Amino acid sequence: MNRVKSFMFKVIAPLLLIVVWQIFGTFGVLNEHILPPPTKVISTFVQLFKSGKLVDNLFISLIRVFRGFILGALAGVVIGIFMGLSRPINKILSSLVSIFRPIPMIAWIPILILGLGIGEESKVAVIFIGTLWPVLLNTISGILSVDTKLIEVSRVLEKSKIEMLIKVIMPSAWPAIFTGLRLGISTAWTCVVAAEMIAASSGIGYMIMYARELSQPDVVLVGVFTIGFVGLLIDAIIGALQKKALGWSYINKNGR
Amino acid sequence: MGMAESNEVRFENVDKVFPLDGEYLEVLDTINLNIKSGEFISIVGNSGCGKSTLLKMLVGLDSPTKGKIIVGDRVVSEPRADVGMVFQEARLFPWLSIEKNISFGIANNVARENRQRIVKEAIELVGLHGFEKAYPAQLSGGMQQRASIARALVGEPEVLLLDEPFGALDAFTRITMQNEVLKIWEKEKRTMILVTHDIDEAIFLSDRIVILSERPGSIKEIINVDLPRPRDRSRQEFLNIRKKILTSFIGNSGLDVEYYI
Ligand SMILES: Nc1ncnc2c1ncn2[C@@H]1O[C@H](COP(=O)(O)OP(=O)(O)OP(=O)(O)O)[C@@H](O)[C@H]1O
Ligand SMILES: [Mg+2]
Repeated sequence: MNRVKSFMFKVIAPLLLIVVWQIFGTFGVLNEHILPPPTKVISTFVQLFKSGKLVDNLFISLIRVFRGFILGALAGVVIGIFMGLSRPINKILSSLVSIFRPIPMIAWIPILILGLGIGEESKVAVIFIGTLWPVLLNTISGILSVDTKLIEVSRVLEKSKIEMLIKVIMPSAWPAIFTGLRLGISTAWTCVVAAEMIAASSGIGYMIMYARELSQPDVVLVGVFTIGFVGLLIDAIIGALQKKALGWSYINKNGR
Repeated sequence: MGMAESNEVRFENVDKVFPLDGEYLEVLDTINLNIKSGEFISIVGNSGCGKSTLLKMLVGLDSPTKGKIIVGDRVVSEPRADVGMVFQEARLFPWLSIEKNISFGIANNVARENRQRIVKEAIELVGLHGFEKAYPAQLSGGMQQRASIARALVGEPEVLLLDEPFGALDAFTRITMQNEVLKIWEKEKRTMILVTHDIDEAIFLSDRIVILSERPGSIKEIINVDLPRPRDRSRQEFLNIRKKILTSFIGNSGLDVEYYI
């Protein structure tokens, strides 16, 4: 009963928005060439879905995201572990991090296109960078957050450095790393669309830009909503994984 | 177990000074103490007199400013699994079940099939049967402390240090745990060194009670407890020792010892 209720609360605002939008559209309040009504967007969606155009472009974007995300997450976690564990490494690399991290993703795109061309590499690289920062910073703070009292326990039990890393430091860091991964994948998803809008001949971002040039607002909207919906889906999947992997960290909150 | 005579503990002229705020804080002063293998020793003293520091140095988490600490034939310089420790707080790993927390205490060279049995026995011993799969956050403070004791025991240390392990427990659980520790000690004959604020606890358990002075802590007096175990807390001899300890504590402060008994 409670779940149904909470679901209702969640969907009520979007539903209301759609109804109002439809009413305005039907009565001609909105310019159909800028903001077509939901019925039109839905029929375009069905059409694009059936023709395979939407799925193909979405699939291409997703592949790019996953390639960039996996590389970025891997690099972020590995470098983060080293920076969290070693003061000298941290000192040496943190100046680099503070110089490069504030650069907005959009600013990277021209540089990367110059360096890597307009092919897949430049897009994967953009996503790589977008994923790297949140994963890196959260991994470092996760590693540093380990309770020295627990380290003392394992020292007293004469555990090796490697064992301490695997059994004490990493488990303490996982919640923070997951937060980084979640932020990373949403940044990655934003980055791919931006990169495809600037230079690409395929992908969901390209589909939107191309439709804009042809003045097809319904296609633009289908693309935009697909991006939002897929982003939501990815976040939900990672959230579920996190709950499964880190069940212990939810005990107090849920009284499980 | 084996060579019981080889793990005598010796403090030789141990001083500890902490740098604090640009100054030096003298915490322990010329500690000389020999603890025989298999002995049960309690350490009592005012808060802040350096009891935890003493244990931390013995277990190898900290080192003396002067003097040395010897266990068996090695000078303590870093932690070794032959000296175990139960900390004042339970310090369990929140991401591991009770079973796995206890298993973490077992030495790495113990075979897998034995590990299960060892954990099972330890869980029975500390009365946590039925909570094997629970996480620390799902246990009461006292149960967590019992799990922590079990984790220290399965490592089979020759010398076990206990830093106010029952401080957080209610009077009933405390007495139960004291009985458990006594049983374990009688069965396994490990050296046990207990820091406590509870004088009755010290008398109930120990062969000898070391009384530390106020900071900088030095050994004020060592009291032998020559009573047969299990000890009756209401017996006259028990009360006499209690009086002796209290006298040592507040004897020259002008307070009336009788009043505190
Ligand atoms: N790492 C440290 N740096 C500076 N001072 C310290 C450090 N550890 C302990 N001290 C100081 O040493 C003194 C003794 O501390 P310790 O924890 O050994 O006392 P204790 O006898 O165990 O007290 P309690 O009974 O309250 O637990 C205290 O005054 C404390 O402030
Ligand atoms: Mg203490």
